Amino acid sequence: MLPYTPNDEKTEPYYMDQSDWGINEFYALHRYMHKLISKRDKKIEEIKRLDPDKMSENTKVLLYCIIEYYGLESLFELSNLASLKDCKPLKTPLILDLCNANYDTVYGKMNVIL
Amino acid sequence: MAKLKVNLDDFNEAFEKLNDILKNKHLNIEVKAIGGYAMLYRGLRAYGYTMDADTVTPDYPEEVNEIIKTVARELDLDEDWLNNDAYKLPEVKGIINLLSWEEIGSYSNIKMLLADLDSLLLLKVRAIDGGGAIPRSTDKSDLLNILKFMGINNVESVIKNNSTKFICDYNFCLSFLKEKEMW
Repeated sequence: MLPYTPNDEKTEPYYMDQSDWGINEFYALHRYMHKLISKRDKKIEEIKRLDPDKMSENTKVLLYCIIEYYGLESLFELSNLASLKDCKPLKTPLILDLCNANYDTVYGKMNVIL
Repeated sequence: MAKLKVNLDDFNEAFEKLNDILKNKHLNIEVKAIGGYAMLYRGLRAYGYTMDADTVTPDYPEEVNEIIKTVARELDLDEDWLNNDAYKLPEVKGIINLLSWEEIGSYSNIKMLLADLDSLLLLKVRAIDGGGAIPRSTDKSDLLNILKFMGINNVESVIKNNSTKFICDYNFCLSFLKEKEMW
């Protein structure tokens, strides 16, 4: 069973089917989740509803990178996000942007090119 | 529900709806747009990634904020799809008077001003420099994309070009560009 449902207008970006995604779509997803975590004070209810089991490995790693990058490890204490701590670097590089500006951060370690 | 990618039509729809309500209530506002919406409008991006417009204006009256929320509900947007969070950042507030604006749009009750390219560059440089050890992970690639858009692909050109040599005054940002060398 796929961890994510076919896309329609009601599918949250982090649950979308990524089978035909390219750099732009993953970049868009990263920006979306980046904003979600940046505005965690206002978005905490949405964060508490996140279900990594419905996400692709790429999405889970992106979410992990964002949380780790900003030192927000306390978010891993949420019961729904605890499993993200077990994220491993991606086998295939996930390219969000060709600038490769964050190679010496957690993004680089997890094989995410941003 | 959230869209993964938004385009100018999405923003136009929101601003038109906002304008209609403001007009009915005989209210006027000014928007000084920076950030993602400005980059989208100027063609620095093919589409936006979050449906929010940053304005560097003081707080709107509560009545206007309620209208912004009304538009959000009607178009299924975030409540803060138009917000002035950036206005309160030191790296922005300190240089408001140095920014240049172009008036765009034809809204009867919204004076829509857009930061020009040099201003967007200045804001991004300051965001990186002011971000300290942990700048936003998205700002560095935004900066490189702005420079590429300006036809500047290496640090030597940054230092020599009249439009970008001011970056030499921002040590953290310059160090990052020197480390990249080319992009």
